[in-house]
Amino acid sequence: MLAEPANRGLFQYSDPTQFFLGYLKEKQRRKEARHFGKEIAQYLQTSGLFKDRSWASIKVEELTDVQCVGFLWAVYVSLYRHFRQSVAPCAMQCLESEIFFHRRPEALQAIANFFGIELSDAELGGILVNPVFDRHAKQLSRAFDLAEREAEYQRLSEALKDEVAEGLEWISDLLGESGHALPLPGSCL
Amino acid sequence: MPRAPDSQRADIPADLFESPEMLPMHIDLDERLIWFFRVTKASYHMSSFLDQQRTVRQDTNIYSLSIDGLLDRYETEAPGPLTTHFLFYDGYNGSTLLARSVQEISGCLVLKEPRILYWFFKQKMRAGKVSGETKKTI
Repeated sequence: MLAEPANRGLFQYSDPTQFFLGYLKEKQRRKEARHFGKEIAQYLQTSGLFKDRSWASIKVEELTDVQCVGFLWAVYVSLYRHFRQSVAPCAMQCLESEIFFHRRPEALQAIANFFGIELSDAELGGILVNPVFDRHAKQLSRAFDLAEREAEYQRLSEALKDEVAEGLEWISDLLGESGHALPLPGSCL
Repeated sequence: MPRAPDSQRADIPADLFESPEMLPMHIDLDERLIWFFRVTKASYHMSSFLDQQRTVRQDTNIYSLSIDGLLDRYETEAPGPLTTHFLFYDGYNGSTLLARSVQEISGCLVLKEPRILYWFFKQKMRAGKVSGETKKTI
């Protein structure tokens, strides 16, 4: 898909702490992480990608929720690095999600520039005041407020601090051997 | 995907390759059929995900076309290559908001998690189990 010269790919990612909070906050999301983990583990085994790394043959059924979420994050960033380096070196960039939330005008302009889409200041200004951005993106009937989101994550940080600490250590153990440290290469901002 | 009652089945319009209104939703390899929902531009904007349950559809019809018929028409009616960009994400990080932002830029049509991509992924996975030839890409 990224082999066509004009096509581009942007990987929007969370730092690992945010990622843990996002998935560990609800029982349903933990189940989703387990489901995605199984699918991606199967993909790794089928594709043979990263077969030189110990975590590529991991058995998701044997992982705790925290380990499963950490495994997901580790695979996602590793896949991004792989596709950027080996498949489409000039056609992929990344954007950290908190940058998008807090610097939305710059982020949108950077994305448009990367995609080669014309976006004037006037059009950008119009987009940013669109009422759709005051609504929850997945449920338009619900209001969205960035300050409320941050307050919720602050509360979650405290409630889940032990699990997050355990998860960060797990990621470090997983990826330590392959030296994958943040920040990811090729950030558009 | 469940089989649609005959009363809900409808023919594919002539402008299949010129308009994004026909959204492929499922491929039935046994029947060699591709199933489509009709989706307007406004529906694409409203839909958070383009799956069977959450796609905002223009009508309740399920449109179908044989795979062979589609390939025949593609040979003569296919448009030139279109520039396509991809937003990848790692989950629960504002990616739907990002997609909604990009779809507000004039000339951009954003397909949010089209289910048919997952169908292709699953087929690749199945093929990968019996053949090494498809193993290097999703």
